[in-house]
Amino acid sequence: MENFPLEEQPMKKSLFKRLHDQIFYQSMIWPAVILMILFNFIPMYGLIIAFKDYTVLDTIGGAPWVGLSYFKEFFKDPLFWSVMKNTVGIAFWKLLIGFPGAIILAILINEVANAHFKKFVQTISYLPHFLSWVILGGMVITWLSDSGFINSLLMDLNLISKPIEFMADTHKYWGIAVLSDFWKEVGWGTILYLASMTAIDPSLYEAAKMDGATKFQQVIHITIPGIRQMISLNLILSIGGLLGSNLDQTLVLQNSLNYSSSEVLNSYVYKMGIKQGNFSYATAVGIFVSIISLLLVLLSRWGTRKISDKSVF
Amino acid sequence: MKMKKILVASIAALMGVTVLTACGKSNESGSGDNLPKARFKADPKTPSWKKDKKHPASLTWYVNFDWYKRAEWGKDTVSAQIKKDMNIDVKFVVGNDDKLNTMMASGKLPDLMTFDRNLAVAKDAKKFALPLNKLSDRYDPYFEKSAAKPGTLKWYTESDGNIYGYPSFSTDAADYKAGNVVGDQAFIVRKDIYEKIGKPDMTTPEGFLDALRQAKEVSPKTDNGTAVVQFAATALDIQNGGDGAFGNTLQDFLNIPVTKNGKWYDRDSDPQYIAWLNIFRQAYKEGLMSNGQFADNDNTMKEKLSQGTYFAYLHSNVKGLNEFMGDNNTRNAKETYIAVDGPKNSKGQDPKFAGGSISGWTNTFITKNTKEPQKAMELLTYLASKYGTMVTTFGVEGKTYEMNNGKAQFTEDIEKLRNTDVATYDKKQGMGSYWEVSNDPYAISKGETPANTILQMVQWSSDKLAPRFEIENIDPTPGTSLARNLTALNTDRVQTMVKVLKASDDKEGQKIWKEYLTRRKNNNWDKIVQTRNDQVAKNIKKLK
Repeated sequence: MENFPLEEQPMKKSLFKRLHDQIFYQSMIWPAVILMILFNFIPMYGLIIAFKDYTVLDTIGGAPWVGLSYFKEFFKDPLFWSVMKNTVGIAFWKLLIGFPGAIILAILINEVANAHFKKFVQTISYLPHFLSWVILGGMVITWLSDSGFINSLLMDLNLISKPIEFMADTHKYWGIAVLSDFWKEVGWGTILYLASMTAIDPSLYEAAKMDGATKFQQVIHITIPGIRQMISLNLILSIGGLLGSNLDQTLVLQNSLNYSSSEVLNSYVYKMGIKQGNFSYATAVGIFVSIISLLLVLLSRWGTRKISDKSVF
Repeated sequence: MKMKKILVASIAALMGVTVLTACGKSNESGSGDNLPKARFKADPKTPSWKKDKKHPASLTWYVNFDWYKRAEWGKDTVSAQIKKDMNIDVKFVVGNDDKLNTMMASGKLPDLMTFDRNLAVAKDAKKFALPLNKLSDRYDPYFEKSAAKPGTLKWYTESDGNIYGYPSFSTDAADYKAGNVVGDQAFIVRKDIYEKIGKPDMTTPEGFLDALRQAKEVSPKTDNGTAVVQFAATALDIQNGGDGAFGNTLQDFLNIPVTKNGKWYDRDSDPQYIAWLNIFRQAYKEGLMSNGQFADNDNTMKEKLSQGTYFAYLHSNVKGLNEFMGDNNTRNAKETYIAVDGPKNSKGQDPKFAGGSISGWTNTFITKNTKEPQKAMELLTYLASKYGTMVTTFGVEGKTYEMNNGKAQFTEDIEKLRNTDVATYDKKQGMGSYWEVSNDPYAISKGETPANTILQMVQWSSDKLAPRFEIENIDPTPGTSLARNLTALNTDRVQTMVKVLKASDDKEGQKIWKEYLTRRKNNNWDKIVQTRNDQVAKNIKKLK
């Protein structure tokens, strides 16, 4: 900085004045910044227990250092890798189905001409989002049980001869998790797209119509490019959250029989840390997951920038 | 520049805050040497609570079980009596492991704490608990001299010479000799069906399967129209490695030893055990067991028992059946459950169960945070002593029980209440609610019997009990990587059990189980066995 005294000069003079001029905006951002420091940055100090042999009876500072031994341990833990597989697998399918699903639904809703019907569809599709997993999971479990409505239906239609054990079959859990999540979140996922669609200049559609473009062509050439920015932002966010598996959903839908395919990182960390008291171990896993997630965010940011030559942040 | 300065300053401030938080919780280094003086000269022959009535105290007691419920202090017969005797108020707080860990981490502890002795924090007791021996020396020598059980005290003396926790339900060798122990395992059948099929012998594999098949024929439906399930066993808890009754309980029934030549014995690899697992597999294959076995939790299964859903049930915790058996008997007294001889090994030997352990179940600690160490010690003395045990088990003499030939007998209305309405009994009377440090075998010797609903089941096992103190606390210390290996193994073990039961034939079942036995090596199995052997050797030495 000392090399550029001339450029620095005007900034230095006006900083407080500029802050003062912006007092209105500053007053909006500072509470958020302070809360973030308070609740997101300060607690990060506790992360050091991943490198220490911490028990609840020690102070964080007082626990003995053990270096990377917890990291080494979970890398060797066969359970960790099966948990990793479930996490990535379920998240991958959720992304593959849920991500385009929300875009397609948003486009469909956008094309509905009747305002009342549009509202109706939107409300119905948002609804599950506002119910907690405890309620929704309970519904899913009841529907899929031996005598639940799905099995009864399939039996009545003579498609199967004896009830399918949906919840007890390890091979079916991923599907159940992905589809129930899709059902819950797809409507909610459309909101941002619908909002950005309203920003598309209607004259573009008129011009396209004049040129004889079909509805489908309009969608491909106007709607989708119009919400491209939003798509890439959402993609970055969802890729970043790929490993941030859904704890509520897992805890509700998990049972003794599908355990081997339903245990995901969050539930694993919860069990290891909070329930079994292996805080250091769980923290080490948590740090590892955070680092991978950070890399994923950077990677997808880099990727989307390559494609759209614009960065969303 | 200014920007940079502000940044640096705020980072410095941040660091300051974090350093402060680090110092926030400093452990008091009280080792029990600088305790406040006793209010009077304590006497080994009289419990101090008798002399300390003038001093009122209010203590908080944390019990690490969500389900632990009782009436407010002083509202039930038992706590009213304790309050009257001691001039003390106790506020019970309950919670689960999460709450316990948070409490421990915050360092703000109540006066007394009770939790499962297998928790990691129990092994670190010296960090938060006052040594009971020092408290006893200073305030209440009666505790060590008379109230506490000598065998238990010796067993609980740590390498530093101190005793930190005192157990519930601790049973020593003398109790076994005197017959003051009860079993908790049973093989129960629905009496009406059992009699209808001619009370067959169910101890051999063939007899067992035949009986189930016949039961299916004679009685396919329950009173409410659902299908009778011919066989079930205590619910599995796969996520926590809980083997229900398919593991240790079945092995006990088959009288497979727990140690051989002073070494821990791998009962899971015993051919007798593997053979019987496969008998259960056959039962499942023939539709004599249901899928509920793998999906239902313990409470659901017990509720089904109270509906008469199962014909035969292998159970690991008879004491927990009281309420459900009561409900079943009220529903249809003809469909009551009785214990009969269940699976036996090929030599036809009787089962062998542990009737209680010297380590007991929970441990109770007096914490370093207590402001009333003397009163807390007196309370433990009271509850652990013979007198206190009588109060917590039978209530007040002349009011809730009478002595008859040296045995306590509940008065008629109390006896009736506890056999018909357990909930009101617990709430109004509180007998059995304050078990934290009580002398259970003494209560048995004074005539404590299980409720009528489960009496026959408990009596069935009474001549099949033998101590196995040598295998207590032999698993790796919780919180270590070896303990995590064991947790993973236990989960795998139960999952494998399910796979064996669901296997299509004997050959496949055997193969699945043997693969598991080999697979254990990947999880440091050899080291775990080594730890167990070392501990067994230590225990044998300690018990001499």
